Amino acid sequence: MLAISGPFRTLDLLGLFQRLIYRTAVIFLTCGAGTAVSGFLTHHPRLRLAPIPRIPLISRALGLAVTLVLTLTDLVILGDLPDGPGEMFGKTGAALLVSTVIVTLGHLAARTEPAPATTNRPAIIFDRLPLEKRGVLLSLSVEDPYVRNSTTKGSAMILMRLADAIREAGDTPGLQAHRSHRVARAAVASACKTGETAVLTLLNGTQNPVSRRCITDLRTAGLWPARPSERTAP
Amino acid sequence: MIDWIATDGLTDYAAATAFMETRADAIAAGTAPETIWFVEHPPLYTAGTSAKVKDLTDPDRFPVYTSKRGGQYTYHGPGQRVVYVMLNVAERGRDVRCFVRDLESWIIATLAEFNVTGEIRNGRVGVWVQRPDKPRTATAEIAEDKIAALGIRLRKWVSFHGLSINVDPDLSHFDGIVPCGIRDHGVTSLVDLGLPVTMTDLDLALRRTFDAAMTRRSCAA
Repeated sequence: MLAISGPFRTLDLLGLFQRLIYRTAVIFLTCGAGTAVSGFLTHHPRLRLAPIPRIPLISRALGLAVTLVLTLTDLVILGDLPDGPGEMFGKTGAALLVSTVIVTLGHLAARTEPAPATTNRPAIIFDRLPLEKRGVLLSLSVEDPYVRNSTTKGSAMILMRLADAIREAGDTPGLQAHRSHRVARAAVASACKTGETAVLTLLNGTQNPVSRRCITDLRTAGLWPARPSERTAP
Repeated sequence: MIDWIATDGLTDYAAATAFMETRADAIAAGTAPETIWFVEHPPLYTAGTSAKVKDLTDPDRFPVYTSKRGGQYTYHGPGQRVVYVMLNVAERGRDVRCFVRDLESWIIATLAEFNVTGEIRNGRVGVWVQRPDKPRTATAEIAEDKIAALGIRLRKWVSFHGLSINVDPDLSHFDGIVPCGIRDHGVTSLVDLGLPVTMTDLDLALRRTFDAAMTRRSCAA
């Protein structure tokens, strides 16, 4: 439609075929830039933000990225630069407004999406354990190249990758405490941090290290003490 | 081309470790060939990276060395063939689990040369033999003893440490530790199984069976 109607002076500057190419380039480049920026800010492990700081941050980054892409595209295809700071600010403002609306609607849509249907996956990892060790799963810990499977009936070493062991643990509720350790939610007896060392003690008395990057998830799951500022008064 | 080395007598553990690490670095740098080294150690215990202090039940009996290999406590001593495996895992499929399975297959094939059926058990590292001549376990299963241990470490995709096979060690020496953290099973040797095998017999069998077990390029999960 935009290629045919030719808004923003493109009707004067370009023929129909050129406008089609221009609009296609704009769509692909702005979508690509937007996907890359929002993907990076959403999934980067060091940028695990709550929705309130995340939405404005992604909106602004997205708006600026799209403005930059649009300006460069205009320069390359139309040979056209904004006429002074006024047009530049206007263009940037419009991009920020549109990106804020899109990001906010995307966040709201994600919140209202129904949870995926549970498939009730069985814990097939027990097929690998000796019969006498098949208790309630407490933890999975890497002891390269093996994975130590700890249950309420003892522990057993299995020659496999941790990712495969987690997959085979099925729907057993658990959380990653460290890149080499996964603990079952119901197995955590206590959590403490001494200096730089953070550990979870499980019901069987074993201690699993906790990495800094996993503490946020553990705290969200209620398995790690809340920050003093987050504690509610009794 | 693999450099096969057999050292007579008892080799100091610290010296062996230093040699392995140097050789592994040289293999990774391409300045030394892959190496398999047959040694025997004086009586000692080694603690792998997952060793638990409570599993060292008699700490004053023999020297205890901390080792960078995986696993828990292991005994080494006279009558036990220790095979240090310095191989380029990058050139052998770059799959450490597959490599360990190959090592297990190598041990099993070697034991088969003496009509011993070695088996892998889920949950228990090492190679095991059934002992129908022993009383059954508390769960009415046939007793099983460990005959070979396994523990490797990789540096720049070159393995070191390796495996040990009990030919005729003093089995009472294992009493000072819980081998590999496994309390419910025993330890045996080829001679304990009634086979008059010598160290030389075992070395020849290891060399005979190596190619078939270790030259595979893929393995099932």
